[in-house]
Amino acid sequence: MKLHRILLAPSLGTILIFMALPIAITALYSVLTPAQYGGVIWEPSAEAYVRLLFERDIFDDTLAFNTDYLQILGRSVMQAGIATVLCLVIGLPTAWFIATRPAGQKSFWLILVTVSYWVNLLVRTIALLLILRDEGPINGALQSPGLTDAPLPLAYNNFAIGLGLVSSFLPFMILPLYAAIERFDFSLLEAAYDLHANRRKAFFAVVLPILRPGLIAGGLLVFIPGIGSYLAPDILGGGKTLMLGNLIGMQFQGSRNWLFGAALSTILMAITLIALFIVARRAAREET
Amino acid sequence: MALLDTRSKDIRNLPGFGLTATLAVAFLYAPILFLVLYSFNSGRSISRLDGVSLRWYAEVFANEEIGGAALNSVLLALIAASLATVMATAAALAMVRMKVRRKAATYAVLNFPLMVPEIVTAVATLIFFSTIGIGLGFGALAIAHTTFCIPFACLPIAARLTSMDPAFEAAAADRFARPLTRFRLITLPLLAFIVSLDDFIISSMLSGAGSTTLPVHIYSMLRLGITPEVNGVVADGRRLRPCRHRLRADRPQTKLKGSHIRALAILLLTAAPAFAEGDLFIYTWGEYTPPDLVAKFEAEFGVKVHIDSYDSMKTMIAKLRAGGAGYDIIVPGDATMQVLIAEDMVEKIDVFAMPNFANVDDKWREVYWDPKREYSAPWAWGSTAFAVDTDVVKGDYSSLAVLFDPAEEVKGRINMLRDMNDVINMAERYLGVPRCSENPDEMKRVLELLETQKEWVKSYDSETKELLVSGEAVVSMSWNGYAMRARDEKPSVVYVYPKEGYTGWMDNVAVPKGAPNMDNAKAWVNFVMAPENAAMITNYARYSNGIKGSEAFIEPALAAAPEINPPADAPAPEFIPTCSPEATALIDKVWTKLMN
Repeated sequence: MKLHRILLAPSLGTILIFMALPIAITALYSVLTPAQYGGVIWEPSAEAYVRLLFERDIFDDTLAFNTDYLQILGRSVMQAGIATVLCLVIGLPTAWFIATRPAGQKSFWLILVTVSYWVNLLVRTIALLLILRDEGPINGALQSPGLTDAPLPLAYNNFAIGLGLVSSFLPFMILPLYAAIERFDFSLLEAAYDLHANRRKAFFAVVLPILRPGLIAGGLLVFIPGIGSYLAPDILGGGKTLMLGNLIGMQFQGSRNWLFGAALSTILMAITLIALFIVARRAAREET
Repeated sequence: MALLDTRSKDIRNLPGFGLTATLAVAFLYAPILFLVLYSFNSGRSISRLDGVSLRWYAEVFANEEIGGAALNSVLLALIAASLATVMATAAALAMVRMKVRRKAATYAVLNFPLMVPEIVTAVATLIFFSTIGIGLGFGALAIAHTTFCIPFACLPIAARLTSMDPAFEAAAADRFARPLTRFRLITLPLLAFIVSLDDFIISSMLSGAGSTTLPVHIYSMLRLGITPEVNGVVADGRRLRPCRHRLRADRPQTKLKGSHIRALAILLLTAAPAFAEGDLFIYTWGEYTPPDLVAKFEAEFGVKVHIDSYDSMKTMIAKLRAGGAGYDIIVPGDATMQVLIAEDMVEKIDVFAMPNFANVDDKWREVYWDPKREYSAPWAWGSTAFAVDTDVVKGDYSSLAVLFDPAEEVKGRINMLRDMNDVINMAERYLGVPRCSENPDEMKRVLELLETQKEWVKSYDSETKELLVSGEAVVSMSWNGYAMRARDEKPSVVYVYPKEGYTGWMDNVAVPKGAPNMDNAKAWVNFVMAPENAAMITNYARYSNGIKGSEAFIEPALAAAPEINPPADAPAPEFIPTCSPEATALIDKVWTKLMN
């Protein structure tokens, strides 16, 4: 028992002190009073959260409802949600295909998927922008044979951001799904056929339920980084739309409003924990 | 039986799945292959292949700033991945024989970093370090990276250990050591290494003196687009070059050999006394400091110069404010300088009393941001207006109307700088609203103008040169030095001094409070005020300096350039001090609304 503690202490301690504690401090920060020059006063205040929903008039100090930040929040959740669904739609057949290959081909495909992720995310994002631009190869290929006469607006919009999120996180969906499918016992399917299920029915009634842990893991691994993503909106969106990650970054690098940034981070963390909680509860319910 | 067999095979090969998988992999690789292909392009175009060449690679490897950043990245990843792997292995060993309930809880804690969005980790760690008073820099980065690498190191190890029934362990190892298993075992611990190399946000927020990582450096180059030009060779591939390097830099990790590791270990040991006497830590815009100037200073003073780059003034202030970043020299703009002096964040070094101060042009001696030049010396100055591609934009382009009331052919092809103050100042000039207005009605008009204009704006991007040259934008807000670079590559680009007025700015050399190498910092400040040294800045960065007598050392083509010499009838540049808190709040509000 003692040995176990010694073995566990460094990693658990590091995470608790340098990850959990800072997040707790951030949450605490978000309910303090801002001082004149970027510091804090140790008095409780809901100012940062009020600012999220209301606009304080500079002259008469009255509050008016303001949806600016809620829209950013909504956009982030939606973009991440869409990206998750797209990753699933692409990732499930891909993972299935890979998992049903013979051993040699399997590793080849797996290496292909994994290695793409080894290339730096910033570089991949920039590369995607270069491809999507008006002067990029896609528009070039469409325009030179006269298929389109004006370049399609592929870059610098929500479509580009979505595409960026999918390409950033697709391997996160494929790999857990692959792991789940690989463990799948294909004799179960034969049993299903014995019971006169057709292919479609067998897939949805037998395969999907067994894949659920993989689906959940993949979904979370795409959704959570997606909602706080910074680079895709920044580079592929052309700086025209903000997502939550950019808004938080702005509070620390631009506007210098640490407390508001702390409040936004706390909210993002809360959304994440809620998502995790829902998933965990559903998983627990299914087990019983 | 035969029937069953074919049907069971069927579900393994569902129609379209193979195609989807192929397309998915193609989608993942297309951008990467595109970059690799064009990294061998001899021309600077990214839409046309001119020939095969290794020139970009040669330039990347000749660039010291990039080399330093790459080294930091690899070193950091190596430290973080090693520490995380050691800790994770210990944890995994302990967990294998734990009771189920306790194991689940331990798992949850170990995986926690995986579940925290990266931006939250960055922000929380920043707040944490500045609350407990640990300075930012390599140490802070190493701690943060190690922490978020733990689950990446732990998962594969734990999976491997738990999946093996101890009784079968030995036998299984002999008989089932399939290629796939080996692949997983060897590759996945590498994951921690890659995850660390990949990180941008956390590194960007926590880096301090001498610890800029490659992604942060690339990002700052992207935002600024100032090209490193060795010996005045006009060359580019701005977006591409660092990326190409990145691709190369990514490779070695996959086949890190003993010799590499030894070399890195030696570096690791020698990197420790980095704060010894003979050092100078400069924090400035990326690619803004001429390498020949640095070499000259190093030779003359026997000091090693380290350069870190920021992507905006605000990032720089945020770093200084977070405390203890360890820099000796910063290069703030005029308004920022005023703030830094007011908030007592820079050292009073009596620049006016330095020997080379005699060279400073009279017009830069009594400036609003440092009236007696007690704190700062001139570095470079320029203007912010806009540039047009005269192949597309015909007729009169002397007014800001080109941007705010655009002709049909310009709509959708406008780029604005990603800087709220510059954009709002420009809109204010067009409307005749004073700068730093505290009047909400006036600012509302500014917002309306910008919102209308947004329909026609392609991007808010500071990389104006690349956008103009590629033809993505035909009108772009721009700094004068950038417009000159664009003109070098595309002669139809003209920098416009709009009749409504434009912003002037000066970057200054100053010493942040608590600089570790004060003497070297002062030597640098005096050094850059010598005419031949100031001329190097102009030749490299393509902005005017404020030093008399430097003209003799400036390249002739540069000295006569229209971007540096406004026409006689152009209005004088307007230097804009920091706005009041009320005005700043309004500017913030306008920008947030505009970006929504």
